[in-house]
Amino acid sequence: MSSKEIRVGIIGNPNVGKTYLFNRLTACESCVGNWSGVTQTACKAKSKQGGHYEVLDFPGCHAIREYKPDIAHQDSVHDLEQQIDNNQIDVWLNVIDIEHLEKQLYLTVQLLEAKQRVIVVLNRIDRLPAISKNIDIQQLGKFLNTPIVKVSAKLGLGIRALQSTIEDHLNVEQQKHDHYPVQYHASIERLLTKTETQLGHQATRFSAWSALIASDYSEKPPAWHFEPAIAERMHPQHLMTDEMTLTRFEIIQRWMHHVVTKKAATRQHADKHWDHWFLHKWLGLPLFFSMMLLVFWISMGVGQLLQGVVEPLLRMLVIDVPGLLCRDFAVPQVMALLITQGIGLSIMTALSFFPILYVMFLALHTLEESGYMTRAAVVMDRLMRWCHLPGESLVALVLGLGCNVPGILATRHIPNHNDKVVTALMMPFMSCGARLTIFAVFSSVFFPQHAAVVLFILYVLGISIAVFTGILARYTGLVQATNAETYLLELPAYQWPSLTVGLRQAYQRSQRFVMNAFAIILPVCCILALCNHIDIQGNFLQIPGDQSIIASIGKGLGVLFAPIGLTAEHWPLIVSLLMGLLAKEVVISTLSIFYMQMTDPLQQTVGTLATLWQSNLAEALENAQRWYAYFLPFIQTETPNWALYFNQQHISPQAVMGYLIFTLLYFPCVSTLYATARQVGWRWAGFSVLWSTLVAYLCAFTYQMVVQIPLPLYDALWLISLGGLCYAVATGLKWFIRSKKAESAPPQVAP
Amino acid sequence: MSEEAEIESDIGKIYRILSLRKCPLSQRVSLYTRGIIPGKEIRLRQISPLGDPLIVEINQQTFAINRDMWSCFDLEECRS
Repeated sequence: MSSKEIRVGIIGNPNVGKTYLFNRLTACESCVGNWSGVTQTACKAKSKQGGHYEVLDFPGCHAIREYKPDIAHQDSVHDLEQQIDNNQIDVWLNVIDIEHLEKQLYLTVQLLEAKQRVIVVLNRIDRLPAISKNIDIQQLGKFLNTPIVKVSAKLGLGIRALQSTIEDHLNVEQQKHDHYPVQYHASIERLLTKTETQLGHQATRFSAWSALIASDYSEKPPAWHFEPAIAERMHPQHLMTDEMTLTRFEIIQRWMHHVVTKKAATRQHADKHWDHWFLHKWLGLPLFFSMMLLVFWISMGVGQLLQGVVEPLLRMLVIDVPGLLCRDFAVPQVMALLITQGIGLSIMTALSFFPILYVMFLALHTLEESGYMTRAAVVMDRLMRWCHLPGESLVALVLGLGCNVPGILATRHIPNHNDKVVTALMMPFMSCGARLTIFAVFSSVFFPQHAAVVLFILYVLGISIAVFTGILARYTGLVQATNAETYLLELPAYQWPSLTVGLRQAYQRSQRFVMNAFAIILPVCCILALCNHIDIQGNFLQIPGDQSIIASIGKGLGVLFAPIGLTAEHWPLIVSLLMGLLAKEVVISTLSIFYMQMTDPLQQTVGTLATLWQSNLAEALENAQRWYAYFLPFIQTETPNWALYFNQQHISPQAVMGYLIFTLLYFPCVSTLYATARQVGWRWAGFSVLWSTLVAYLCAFTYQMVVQIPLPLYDALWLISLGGLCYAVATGLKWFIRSKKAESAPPQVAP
Repeated sequence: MSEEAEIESDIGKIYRILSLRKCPLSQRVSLYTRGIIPGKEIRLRQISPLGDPLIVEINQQTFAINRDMWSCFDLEECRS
């Protein structure tokens, strides 16, 4: 073996268990699921055993070089093809699901034609008895002339055998596989050999094939097309792609007669039964919405219950106890402030989201793993096509209601890039869980009789603006509509989700999210705590108030926010909006810092360890005893003490409503922005920021105007004006985009 | 018979794919590589809510395809 880094690539059709295998061979915990497209970009890691080779997990593909213009994750496919063309992978592990052997061998044939070293990994052998198939592996090995290993990546069966096969294969002196498993018609063979010779000594059967089929996409037929031997062989309406692809399948089918000896349709029958209900003409949609509702009900109910129990204990550990220790050991005030309200509060804020996220990710994983998620996309497809979006978009948007970040990440299910862009632009308007907390607190204080109605209005407003954005993006031509002709979706088989995998995956996903959020919340809380206790002259303030730096900034920005109802005296609300740019979770913690200190600045330092322990434990137990309250269909959010401060300051409900509308619609948090940029690029992420902030400002401003002129006629006039404004924006944008496109189009040549 | 009724009457029938010539080349390649090739049997299993896409069964695998794609297939009825 050479001293260079040895690379083992995992390749195969989508949803055959490549990432399960990758996780088994390495120490990674990459995301797995029962749908096509879980892996979007190639992942690499050192192998478990001594780590002397690198394992690369590539996104699933049905074939190499499909020449499909709108193929999803184009970059990763290009990357895969480059690895093959440049022989950068020492051994390919071609993962094949034993249930659908025939169609998957097409990729194996392509790899062998490209003279790649291949180990065929037959996955899901645990399914063999259930599907009543018998596979003659020796016979298949003879046809392909390559090693074949049986594994069950999910259960960890056959992994040792695979590892030793990889080792053996790597230890054999590098020799290229010159065996071409498929023999084409003599005339085509001659043409391939001739092309190979023309391409040079590095050429393979695969590169010759690529060169030949490329001519199918050119307007002028190549010279060989008119050769009598080839013309005689090929069907008049067939191209070289058809001829060679169908020949490969013909040979594979012939192999199958020798390799697979028994067949039964047991699994199909079970799948059919489930599909009958989940894709039912009348019940499909209600079942989908019930399923989504169930996911949210369970995740919010169980998550909030856990949050209610964990939060008081956490507060005691990270805020109260450090506060007491700081007091007893006479720690300098600035340091004590940073420990309790900087580090302590940020840990508590970040970790308090963990239970909800964990339960939500677990519930979603269950749906994904069971195979229902793909059906959900099918059920919603037609509905979303009215907005020129695929069904997968709705799944992502629904997930965005929990948190925009997983929603944005779920756009990876969407095969077309343009659809992905529109969905990402719509996402910031879906009210996430963090915004729900803000709405719940404010509506319970300011609109105690109509809290549910206010929440409902805010939700509907968010969804309406999201739909409006989607339609506008298509109407103006900002994002081109998808060609619906290409809809072809493979529905995975139903399966029982694995609880251990689910628990592990949910932990990984929520931990990653919490860590990312913590990285933002920690500096924000530290800076806020300091700025709130230091005045412009740099003096330390014992009791924070109107003199602090942060208050001055908030008051200064009051001019900008006055049209939406927030004046200088509402500086804490303005500052919380600024902090919300970093994460919406910070909004409530920002307000709690300001108002808690204004109402009771000494709250953190009273009592003893014993009394704190008793009071926090009692609160946790009380929350646990009221477990049923978390599952009730109305909101059970308790109003924090600091929130009562609002009424004393005479903040009008109209100002609060303007604030809530702005919070609902403005700038998505940095995590969402980063996720958007990763999925669709920084240009669209930037556009999303500008668009959402503009819409938020316009809507909040319009609301203020409507409530300040309480005559029905004026209300109607303002609404009409807003509609007219939207139309003008849409038309202007459409005109601008068309004129830009016309400018960049190549000049027409006169005939 | 309307297109809707025509498709509904096809539910449960098993057809053999004669050719995919009517499909554009890029679409044809997608179909081929998923094992949807001439000679295979295809069964229209059900119509999803709101009428599109259609749920079909080929090679003991289930696919959702839209009506345009279904109309591209050259089919011959085998059995019901």
